[in-house]
Amino acid sequence: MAKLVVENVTKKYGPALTLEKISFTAEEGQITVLLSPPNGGKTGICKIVAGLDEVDSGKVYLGDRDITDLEPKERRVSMMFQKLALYPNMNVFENIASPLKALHLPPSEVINQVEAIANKMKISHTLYRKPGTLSGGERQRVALSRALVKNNADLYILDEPLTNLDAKIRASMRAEFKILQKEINQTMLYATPDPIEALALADKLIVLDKGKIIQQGTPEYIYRNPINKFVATFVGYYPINLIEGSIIEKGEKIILQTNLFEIEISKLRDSVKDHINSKVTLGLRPELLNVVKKEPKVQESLDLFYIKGEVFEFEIRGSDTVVYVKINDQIIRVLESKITKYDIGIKVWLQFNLKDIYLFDAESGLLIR
Amino acid sequence: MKTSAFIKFILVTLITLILIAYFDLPIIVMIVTAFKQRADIFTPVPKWIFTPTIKNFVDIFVGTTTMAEGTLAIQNSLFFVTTSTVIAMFIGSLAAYGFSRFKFFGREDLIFFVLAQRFMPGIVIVLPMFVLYSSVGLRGTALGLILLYINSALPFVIWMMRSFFDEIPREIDEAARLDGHSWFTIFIKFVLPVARNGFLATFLFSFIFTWGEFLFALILTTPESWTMPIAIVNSRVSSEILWGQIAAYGVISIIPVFIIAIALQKYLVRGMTLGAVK
Repeated sequence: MAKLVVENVTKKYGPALTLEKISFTAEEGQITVLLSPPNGGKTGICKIVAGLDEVDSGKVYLGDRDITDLEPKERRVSMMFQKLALYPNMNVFENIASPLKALHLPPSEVINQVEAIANKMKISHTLYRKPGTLSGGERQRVALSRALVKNNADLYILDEPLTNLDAKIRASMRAEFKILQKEINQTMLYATPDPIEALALADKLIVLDKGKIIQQGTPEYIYRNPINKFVATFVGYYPINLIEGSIIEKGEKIILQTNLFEIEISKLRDSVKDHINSKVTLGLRPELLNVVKKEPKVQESLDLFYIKGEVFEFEIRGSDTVVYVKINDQIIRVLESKITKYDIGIKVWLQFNLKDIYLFDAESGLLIR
Repeated sequence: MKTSAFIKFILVTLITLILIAYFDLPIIVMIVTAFKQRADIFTPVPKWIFTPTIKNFVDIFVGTTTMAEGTLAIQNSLFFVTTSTVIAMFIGSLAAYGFSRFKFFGREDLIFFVLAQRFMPGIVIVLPMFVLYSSVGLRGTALGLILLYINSALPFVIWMMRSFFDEIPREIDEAARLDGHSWFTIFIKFVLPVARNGFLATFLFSFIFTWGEFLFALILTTPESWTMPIAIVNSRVSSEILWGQIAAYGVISIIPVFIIAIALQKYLVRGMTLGAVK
């Protein structure tokens, strides 16, 4: 177990992708999650840390060792691949035993270690079958076993380990994975394109886009304080609602004016004072909005806003309801964590709290508050 | 069966039979001729009913009547072709693996250059090769012909094997590298077994090409190192061409290719199955 430090790593992967000055630290015994849309640079970083790709410039340290120019086998890292990369000509036992055989361990020890990990991962019954005959979930476990069996590794890299599974198995594997990580207590670098997976697993979250680190921090912090529109849209259970508008001053009051509604935001004066008379984007998280069916009494508290609209559509997703509220011509998503049925087209009021709104600079996309 | 379906069945069968006859009739004639006596071969109308004989085969191996010595030619062919194909497969697969996995300056130009050697007709270099081989003492030697056959099989092997290696996901190599294996172990134990079907298909084609090679063998061999195709040409005496023996040679020379093709058939047909990787 050791700390991973990536320092100013730059690498050109052809015209479509360049990693630019990537710097981050993965703390000892924690899961550090790399989150990005496809082709954002996750796999590139994983391969550079593993030693499969060379850097153009920059340094990689593992513990107190500079591993930038070391061969993969000298780095003491283990990796699980997105495509699993099981050896199709070998059975499950031989697949898992491969890293141990490369260490020239005595056969009895190889057998013991493989059987131990196979028991833990519940794949003992598959040991003498070829990977081609296994189910998707079983293959995933075999690949994970092969990555974890190498117990001299200082760092475990998991490149989209759950991506190829169907949704149901993915959810259960995710939970199991979290328990497993607590158990083995190792430093892990985990890449995923799925924000829900990232939020659920990460001790530290690194959000990437087009080869650049956009934001890093704890998942809670990033969720509450997205640095820009991209992070706000990408990191969350449902995409954030974005409404274009501008901030204007009317006498003493500061008003947020959009083509859907106007609200007074004088209480945010300190945060927005530099943006008066400029264009902004309002962000409203679906899970922080409510739908009210009866006309509310006029502003019980100054911090609550009610916007009139009509129900355009709704979806019941198990125990949640996603309501699509139409205001003028824009559709706003609302997530209610209960089952509610609506008549399509009825008048409703969208309710939200002043403290829950995000404001982004319309041009740069950066968070204002 | 409906009338239209019946007509379709008849038509398909007929066309199939015509195609089989078109491709296989020369082989059938050869086999039949190999078992005919001299008088039966030269009848104006081909004879399909005759008393079979194995005299033609006996003559080849006893070798009293012609310049060609059958047993020696078969030994030569088997030895030259097997040795050169095995060596070409080994060297060519390694080279193909390099071309498939390592990026280096001029890679695509180099592989095109390798393939371009196949574009050139053999007749262009046969004379320089004759002069070269005579001057260094390689003409008529086993080594000389094996070297030549390795050289002519390599472009094909490299080109074919590279396309098979390209189909194997790189993650297989990468996983094995992270496990801690050397490049050579990765090639032998992890990559080559996955490319097995392609490897065997390439081996078979390469073997067949070399087995039937005529031009260089004609120019660069002496009677002691004649291969099967050259023995066939020399199946004559001063007064006549021995068609019976030629046919017998033909029958014998297709046997090894036939056996290998039957043995490897399932690999040729099945193609690559990489289901476990996806």
